[in-house]
Amino acid sequence: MPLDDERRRAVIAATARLAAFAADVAAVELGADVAIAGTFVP
Amino acid sequence: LTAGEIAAAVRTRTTSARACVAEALERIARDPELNAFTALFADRALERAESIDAVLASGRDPGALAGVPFAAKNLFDVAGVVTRAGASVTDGDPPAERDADLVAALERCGAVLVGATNMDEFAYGFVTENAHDGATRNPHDRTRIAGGSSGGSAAAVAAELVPLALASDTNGSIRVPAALCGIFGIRPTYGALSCRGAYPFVNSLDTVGPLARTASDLQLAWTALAPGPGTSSAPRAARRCARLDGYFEDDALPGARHAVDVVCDALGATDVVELAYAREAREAAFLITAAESGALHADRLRTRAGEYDPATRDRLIAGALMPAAWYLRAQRFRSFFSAVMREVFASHDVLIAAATPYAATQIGQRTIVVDGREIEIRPNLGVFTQPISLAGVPVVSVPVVERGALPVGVQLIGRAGSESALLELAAELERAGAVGAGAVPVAV
Repeated sequence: MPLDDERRRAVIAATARLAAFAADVAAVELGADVAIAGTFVP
Repeated sequence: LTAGEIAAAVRTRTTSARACVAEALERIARDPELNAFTALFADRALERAESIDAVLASGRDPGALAGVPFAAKNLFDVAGVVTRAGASVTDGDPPAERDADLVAALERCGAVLVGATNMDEFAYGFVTENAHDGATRNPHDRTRIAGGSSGGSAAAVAAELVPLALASDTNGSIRVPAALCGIFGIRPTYGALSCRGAYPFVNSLDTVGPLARTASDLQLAWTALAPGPGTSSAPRAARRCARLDGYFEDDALPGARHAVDVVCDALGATDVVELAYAREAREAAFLITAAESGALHADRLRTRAGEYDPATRDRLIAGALMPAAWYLRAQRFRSFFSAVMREVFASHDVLIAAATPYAATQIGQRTIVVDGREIEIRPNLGVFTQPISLAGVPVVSVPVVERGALPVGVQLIGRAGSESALLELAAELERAGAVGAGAVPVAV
């Protein structure tokens, strides 16, 4: 289903938010002095 | 009446399960304005109640929740009913073949499902302003939101339509509505309770659990849902409690901070801990949520996007288009953050933080001013719950309801598997009068 202009702008805004979050999370990985790896255990 | 009082009265045959269930159905029917329920199962409920009365008449024990009416968020499977998950795009799905595991677990203990409750579409929200079913109203002020995504379940319990309800919590969907409606709720350790028969949202973060008006009812429900010895509760004096500072204080309005003060004072908690990487933990939870929910709905979005609630559709589409590297990095960060959390729990048993940064806002309100900044209400209601979701540890949300003020909630956060200890702590706080559900205005 094609997106109209309004929907397209909303999806782009949501994607931009996710991109900013991804950059923050990546910065931790790049800057952390411990390896970010392993299996998730609560 | 509380769930405990109803069960005691039914088990001693002071009243009947049928009468209790019929009364609950009448209460619900008398209050359509609250908009907490999307379906009632009157025939099934009355039949089930009669079978409980028959068990009692034969001298057998129907269970610790005998005759207790309860509700379930409309993402839980109910045999013979289409599971809507707050959507209309699910209307043509086949009916569920069996009850969800949690519904079955409560009914095995004698409780009776009376209806399904309103929610944000596919649990993707914190307000329960649903495009298909309307907004659920907050029983404390009916012009305000109930919180979400389990808003119908929380409002039904707060308004005393039912003493217990089932809900789900991915990013805060039990804790946020529990806080805004002034009741108790528990998000269990990730994986502790079966999600079978609960419509999925984000498999990596989804949990299911109960809501109640009293801490003792929440304990009763937990015992029914997670039978077993549980973890032993440390003596109160030996329990090391700390307030979460920094990120968990910065964006909170005074009412939320005051609620944390009340709980910390009651517990004698003077330690303060700043949880490192909390902001990034929330962001990682957002990324995982977007990717997994987007993937789940990608096929249907291709052809039926117009049937989705606009409040969820754009975020689902963005998630479906998200690069895999972002998701994988968020999952790696999750392992790292859970280790950070375990380190904090090496020196403390319970962490204390507000459940939401502010009390219930007006239905339809889009922004709020916090510390001179205008922020969006919908995503920010989960600012304090999402980082804890990422860590996968259990949380009990306790209500602070003061005269003349709207309810706010406080999170009691424990290490994995410490649900019993957290519930005991909530009960202690309730007995001490520090927390507890307040009376709600009577519906007219």
